[in-house]
Amino acid sequence: MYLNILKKDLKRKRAMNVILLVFITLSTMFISSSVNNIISVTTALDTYFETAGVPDYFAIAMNTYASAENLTEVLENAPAADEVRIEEVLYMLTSNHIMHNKKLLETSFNFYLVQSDRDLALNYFLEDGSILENVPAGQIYLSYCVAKNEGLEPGDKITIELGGINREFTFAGSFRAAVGDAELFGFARFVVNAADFDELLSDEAVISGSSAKLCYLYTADLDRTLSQISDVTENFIFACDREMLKFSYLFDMLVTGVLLIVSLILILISFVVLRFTITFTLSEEFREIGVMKAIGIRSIKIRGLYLTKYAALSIIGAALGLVLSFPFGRMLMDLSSKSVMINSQSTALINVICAFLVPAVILLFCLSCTGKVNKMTPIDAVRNGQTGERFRKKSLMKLGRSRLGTTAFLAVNDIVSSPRRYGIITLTFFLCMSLLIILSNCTTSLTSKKLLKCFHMAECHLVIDTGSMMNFSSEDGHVELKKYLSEVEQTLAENGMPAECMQEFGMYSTFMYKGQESRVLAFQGTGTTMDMYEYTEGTPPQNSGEIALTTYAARALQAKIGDTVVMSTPAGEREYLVTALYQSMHNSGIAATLYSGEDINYTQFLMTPGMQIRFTDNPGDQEIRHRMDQIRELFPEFTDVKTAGEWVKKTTGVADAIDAVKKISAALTIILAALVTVLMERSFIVKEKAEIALMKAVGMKNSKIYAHHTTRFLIVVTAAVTAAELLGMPLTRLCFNPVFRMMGLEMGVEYVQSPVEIYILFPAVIFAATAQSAFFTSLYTRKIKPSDTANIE
Amino acid sequence: MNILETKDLCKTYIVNKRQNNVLKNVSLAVGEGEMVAVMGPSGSGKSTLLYAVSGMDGITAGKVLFCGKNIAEMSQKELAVLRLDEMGFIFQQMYMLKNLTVLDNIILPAAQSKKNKEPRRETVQRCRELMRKLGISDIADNDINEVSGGQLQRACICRSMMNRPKMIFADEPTGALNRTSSDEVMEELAKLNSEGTTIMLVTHDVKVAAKCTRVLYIVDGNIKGEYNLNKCEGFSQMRERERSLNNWLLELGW
Repeated sequence: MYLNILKKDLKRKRAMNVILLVFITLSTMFISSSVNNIISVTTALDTYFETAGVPDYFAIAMNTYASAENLTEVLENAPAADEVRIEEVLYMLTSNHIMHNKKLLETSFNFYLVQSDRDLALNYFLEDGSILENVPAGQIYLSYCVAKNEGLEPGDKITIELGGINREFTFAGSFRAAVGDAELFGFARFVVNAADFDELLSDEAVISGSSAKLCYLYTADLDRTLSQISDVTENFIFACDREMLKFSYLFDMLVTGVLLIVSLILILISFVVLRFTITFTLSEEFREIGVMKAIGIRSIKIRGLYLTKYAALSIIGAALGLVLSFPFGRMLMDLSSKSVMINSQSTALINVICAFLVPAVILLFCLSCTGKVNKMTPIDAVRNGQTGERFRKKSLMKLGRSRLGTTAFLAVNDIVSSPRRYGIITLTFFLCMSLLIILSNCTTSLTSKKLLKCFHMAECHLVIDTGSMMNFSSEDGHVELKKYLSEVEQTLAENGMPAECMQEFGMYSTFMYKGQESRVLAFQGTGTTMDMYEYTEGTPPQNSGEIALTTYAARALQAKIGDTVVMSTPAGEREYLVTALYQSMHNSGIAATLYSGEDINYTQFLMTPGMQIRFTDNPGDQEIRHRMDQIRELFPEFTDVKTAGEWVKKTTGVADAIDAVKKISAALTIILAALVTVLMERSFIVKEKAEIALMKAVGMKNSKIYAHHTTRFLIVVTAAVTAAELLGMPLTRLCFNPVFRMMGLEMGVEYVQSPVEIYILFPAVIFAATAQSAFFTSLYTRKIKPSDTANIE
Repeated sequence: MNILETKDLCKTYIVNKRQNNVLKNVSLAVGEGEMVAVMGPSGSGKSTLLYAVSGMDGITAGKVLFCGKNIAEMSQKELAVLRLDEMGFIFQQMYMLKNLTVLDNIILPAAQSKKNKEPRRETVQRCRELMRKLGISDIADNDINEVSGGQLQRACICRSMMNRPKMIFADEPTGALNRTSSDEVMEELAKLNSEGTTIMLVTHDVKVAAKCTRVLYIVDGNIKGEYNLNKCEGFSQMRERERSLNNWLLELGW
């Protein structure tokens, strides 16, 4: 009998059953792919480092330095080192040109690393996920970030000019190198055929000037290893440990964080919609439930019947959703796995587990909803619920007293009469719109010059890579740099561009305080005054021997304002009085800023964001663009001239990726809004068939009914969009402050909004999707005839 | 003068590829001010006839002239306007919009009508007056789930009257009511008819049909006969009218 009732039910209530099936399929698809993605991205970096074989310590050593001859021997014989891998490379300063279309390839550092396919120490992943093993002669592979930034396509020509050698290669593809291929700082790495590499190295001058080694040390005790190899560390022109390598992927992980948020919102929407659909479809069954109770069927049997039906539907829906979850999950994942290889294939089992869980959750929902069966009486069947037993007070508004037109009144009245039903739809649209606003705020902030503050840089208009900044890494670099900046200022002033030029230089140093030690990235500005920076507490350093620490550095050292910390420098240890605290993204927030007037040995200074220019005559955007061209003409040696916003965008490197996620989310939102509207409206039509027929019978035109149904959704969207716009900024802070906190910004970021996107574009998109879907679905009411009033059950 | 006329009206349903001729060449005429009852066994096509002549359902062949206009040739939009402004409907189930109060349900057709130019306040006043006449003024602001079936059916009559229709169509208006409520509702309809509104109703109840001026008996989609009753003059005549109608129906195989 059960089977017969079930078969009849599936056939007779086809529309509602199909709607439920579609929702179950969608929910399974979202939940399976999202849970899989969450697991994949949260473990992505560790998994990537493991599969790539990232070492515990990485260094670039020049072969020309004094102790270079026994470098390999010292490293290999260090008792604490478990394994040492070496790659021979050409360390080429950007003055040795590597060009594409006669344009110098851009890199975060001032050097390129060219290596052969003979001694690849790590696993370098090609775009299809395979490992780079050998390179055909005449071809060249590039690290992913550089290839992406240059927009290189396979077949493009790349020229290497080195000493007397000028060699053209064909770009064969990009690879992901776990060491030095992150958005925050990435070396430009190139892999060529061994024979080609030998040819490049054939010049004696090249061997003596550019030959270097990439050293990868695997050890369980890094400190002991470093002390054992201390004799050769003077060869290292760059070195960092695994944690620092991880930190370099911070911004790449921001994209995965965004993906996490998208996935969580999709899961939330799925559950909200699923629960709504189940309760809604079950409420359709009240009459039948009443009839069954009236003829004496026990509640448990009735519940069993509905559980069987929902089990059948959810198993079919979950199976379909499982199949769809793979391509959908891959589509989302493709957005994030740019610099980091994310292996989502291995977690296919997660999709299957989720697909099993969805029917279980549905049955739980169903069980709780059918709990009402116990409370229902046969009277629900006899009087069809219309005369009052099942309905609470409904009519909150009065048509007689309202100034609204009939259509608008009916729409508003429906919403206020069924707040829970429309509340669910509002919540769904609110989540969709909030997602877009959050992503928009994030993208806009990551391309705003306001983010300069987060790198503890002074406000400026332009940031320039002069191509010669590392030349100041000398003992008197600070003085030389001061002179250089004055010269540039003078030239600019002579050409009608009054400006202040400044430059930050940074080096890693060990800071100590009362037994606590921490590796701190210490910066000193040249051409800046200390009041140009932003502090969270205290007063800016005003004299030599004073320093500002980030809140994270102060916490690591357990120091506070007024304490004296010790900084280890090449010239020995120096004491600094902590006068202020601030927040910065450098070195995961563990940084310091020295007094700009202090005389410091610049030999150890390793990194610089570039020369900053602040025009003192406050030019407009167009004028700034014009001046950028003028500067390029005046200083042809400048390799890169960017606005502050462009520099922030390039440095964070993920704005484009988040923008891509935003665009996909926008598309997803349109689809979701349209689907939710279509399915909900279709459900409403089924439920309101009697009322629609009645309205037609009393002479309401079809067009009025379409307008009534469409207006309901438009009101709901308006409420959702307004709420999302009001709560957009707090939600952005809620979602991204923890991420920025991990990066060192304890107080969060001053987010920037794009009014065009938030107040015009996104609302228009959601309105259009909803209005069209509601309208086209409401056309289905055309099939309901006035005479159906007589046939309604 | 006839307000409603049908000529060779046919209505055919196709169910599971089987043709079901529900109405077969039905020709009838309803004069202005008449109160016509349609009777017949279940499945004979009574309701189908009512819905076909009122433009609520399409027809397969023939003509339906309402005030001289063939409604079979009208578009859905024109039919909607016709139903709104010229016709009133009463159903067996007291269908009303659940989210509106009784009063709002009644004024809805008036609020919708373009013909009705009066301010909404006046419409409400007119509605209250109508409700007072039908004895349901005290339930105006109630929800539809707070009133009895009889009250609800009287509210449906009010709704059907709001746009001062030329004709009211009622499909078993007393079918879901007890005898007392049924009598009350029929009394109201008779009163409306006496004020000049033409009424066509479908019923199984001889007592209800006896209150009409004419009874059509329909079997298998054909009008098998019609019985003329004069205007009902008072309660004393009712017994006689019912008896004579009953006899006629029995002759036809009722």
